[in-house]
Order: sequence, then structure tokens, then C-alpha cells
Amino acid sequence: MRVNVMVTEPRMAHEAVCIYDLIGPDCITFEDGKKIYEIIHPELKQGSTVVLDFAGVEVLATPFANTAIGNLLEDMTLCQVQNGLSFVNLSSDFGPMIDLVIENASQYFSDPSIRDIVSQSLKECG
Amino acid sequence: MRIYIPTINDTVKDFQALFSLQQLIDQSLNVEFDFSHCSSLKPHAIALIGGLARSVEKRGGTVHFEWKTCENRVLHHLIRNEFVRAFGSDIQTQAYDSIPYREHTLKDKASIMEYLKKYWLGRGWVGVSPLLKSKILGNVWEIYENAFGHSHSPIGVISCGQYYRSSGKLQLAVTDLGMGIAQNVQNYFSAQIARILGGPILGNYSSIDDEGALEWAFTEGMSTRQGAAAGLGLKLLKEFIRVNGGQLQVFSNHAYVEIDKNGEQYHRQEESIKGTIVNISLQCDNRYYCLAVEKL
Repeated sequence: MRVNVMVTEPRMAHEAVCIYDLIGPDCITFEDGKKIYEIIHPELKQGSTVVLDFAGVEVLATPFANTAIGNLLEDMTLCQVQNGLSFVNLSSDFGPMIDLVIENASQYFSDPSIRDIVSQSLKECG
Repeated sequence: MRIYIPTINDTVKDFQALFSLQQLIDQSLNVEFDFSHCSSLKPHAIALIGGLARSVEKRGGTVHFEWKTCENRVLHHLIRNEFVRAFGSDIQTQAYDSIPYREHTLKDKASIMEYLKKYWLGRGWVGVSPLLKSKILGNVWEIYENAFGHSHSPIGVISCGQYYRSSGKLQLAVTDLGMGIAQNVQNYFSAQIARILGGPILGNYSSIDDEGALEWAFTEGMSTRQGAAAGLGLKLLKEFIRVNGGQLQVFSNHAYVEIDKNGEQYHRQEESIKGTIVNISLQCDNRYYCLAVEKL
């Protein structure tokens, strides 16, 4: 499965969630990812659109991205996330990372055989 | 107990010697470190010795470093990387080519990232673009996140490094004295099996050996954390090390992995480490490294 991050033109400042203001330049921890998740998840669940503004973000690590964005797929469809969430000021290489996070999370939360990773691994280990 | 620190380089045999020391020190409450048998210490050895000393103190014991037994070269190295200062001698000096010894007792991302940016990748020893640097830092952060999140290390996480001007090598070691990556994966597997079976597992059941557990932990997408977690894939770091000609070594429990341009080799080791050592070695050449997308 291939998904593509939607990068939109910058919207009005008050519409965007400014990651730098909330977290700072280093978006790397699970805890910081949870802060963002708790802001955007209720909005998206209500059907609102959310713009994540990455201006000023220097380091993006998967613990943050998995928690902030990947976990949205736990109770939302891929379509809901893709239609509701967009990104601005995302540096050229952060896009593929977020693509991968969404793809992995979508598989993890939608496919029981992948979700139960341990069972799969145990089978492989004999 | 008097512990004679041997010369420790970075072959597998050197790591085994280091882990033998851990077993001795773990049985002692009063430890004196003697350096008279030591002519050189690599960053991973310094980080582990510091961690072991702190673990003795945590258990209520005492530690004494016999600085006067150090060869001048070793002592200068330990002063410059602030190891001596960390253990009570108030000697100040310039860092020169050292990445200072640091004990990160809390998961303080600001101080750890500042440390990595300022002392490791921020000194121009390896030519990397800002974007590639940020990606490498993101991957290395995962090592700290894993150590703080899973290991339950009593002494936190310790970092230490060195730039070797003559060989053009930059080393960074990250160590914790927690349960170890393999043990953590095995505990997770056991818990999941118990969940599937609907009750606790009787006896000493281990479904996967240490090498397999370490390999599982380094496979992208595998994680013992609940939710959409990607695990310690370290994809970008591995790729950079391959292109750069560097090496990533990870020792944990009875297993270790060596990752370099020849691939990823998992092995069993005779001596076990209670905890984890991650040793990142980069080549400092004249090349400038950037991401493929930056070349467009």
C-alpha cells in the first residue's frame, strides 16, 4: 500500500497547529507526540480539518510521529485521516517519514494478522 | 575489591573483557579502580565503567578511582572527557577532541539533543548536510528513547565519545545498565504468549534466543510498545553508516550485532552484559554527505 502525504498551501495562521510553538525544534519523544495527538484527534473525530505547521522543526523522529499521527489510525480510517489532516512547511525528507508512519499504522491497526506481530514472529522463529 | 582495568579497544574480545568486569563489580560493595594495567580506553569502556561505579553507589557501596595508577596518556584522556570531574576531582580543561562523559539520569530531550548537536555532529568532523544531520539525530534519539523507555536502567543512560584525529574516526557510545534489549523482547513475548493462553507461563520459558530477540528489536516495525510504534529500525543511520564506511555495534545480554558496509551480523557472545552498549563509529573523511532528495 502506498499513501502520499498531502502538503497544502499555508492557510491562515490561526487555523494551523504550530508544532514549533507547542514542542520546539526537536519533535522526537512519545510524550510530545501525545501532546499533539490530544490536540488533533478530537478535532479530526468531529470531522474538522487540521493543518499541522512544521515551520521551525529541525528534528523529527518516529517515536513522535508514530504517537502524534500514527495512533490516529486506531479509531479512524485512512480516508478520514488523509482528508482531515494536512501539513505545511514540511521539509523535503519529513514527508516520506510521515507517509511511512501512516502506512505502517494503517496496516497495524486494520489488519489483525499484522497487529498481532508477536504471533507472526513466533511462527517465523519456529 | 580492587578492580584492575585492562586496555580496552573495540574488538569483540575487548567488549568481552569489559563484561567480565561487570560481573565482578556487580558482586562488590566497595570497589577501587586501578588503571596500572591500562594503556588505552575507548569511549564505550569509559561509559560502562562510569555506569558500573554509579551502580555500586546506588547499592549503597563506595567507589574509589586510583588516579595515580593511570598512565599520563590515559589520565589526560579521562580529564579531557570530564570523567575525572564526574567522579569528584574538580579539574577543568578544554574538551579538545573529546565528546564529554555525561550521565543522563532523566529523559531530558533538550539537554541530550544539545549534547549530540554540540559535541558530536556539530563540530565539523563529519561533513553532513543540515537535513541529513537532523535525520541522523532523530535515529540516534531512538536509542535514548529505547533505553529510557524499556530498560529500567538504575543509572539512566550514559554517553561518551572521542574523535581520533590520526585515524579519522569519530566514536560515540551510549550505555545503560537496564535489563537489556534481548531480555525486554523475551519478556514481551512471554507476556503475549501468556495473554494468548489466558494465564501465566509455568517454568522458565524462553521462546526466542538473545540473538533472535536483538534482531527482532532491530527490524523496522517491531516494537514492544503498544500502539503504532516502529521500533529501533534505525534505517537512515544504518544506511549512512554503510555509505560512510563506519560501524554500529550493539551489545546486549548474550547477543551483539555489528552493522557496517558488509551488512548486519547477529552473534551470540559468551560473556553477557546486563544492559546495552551502543557504539557508533563514523569515518571522518573529506566527503560531504547529504540526502538523495537534496541533490535534486
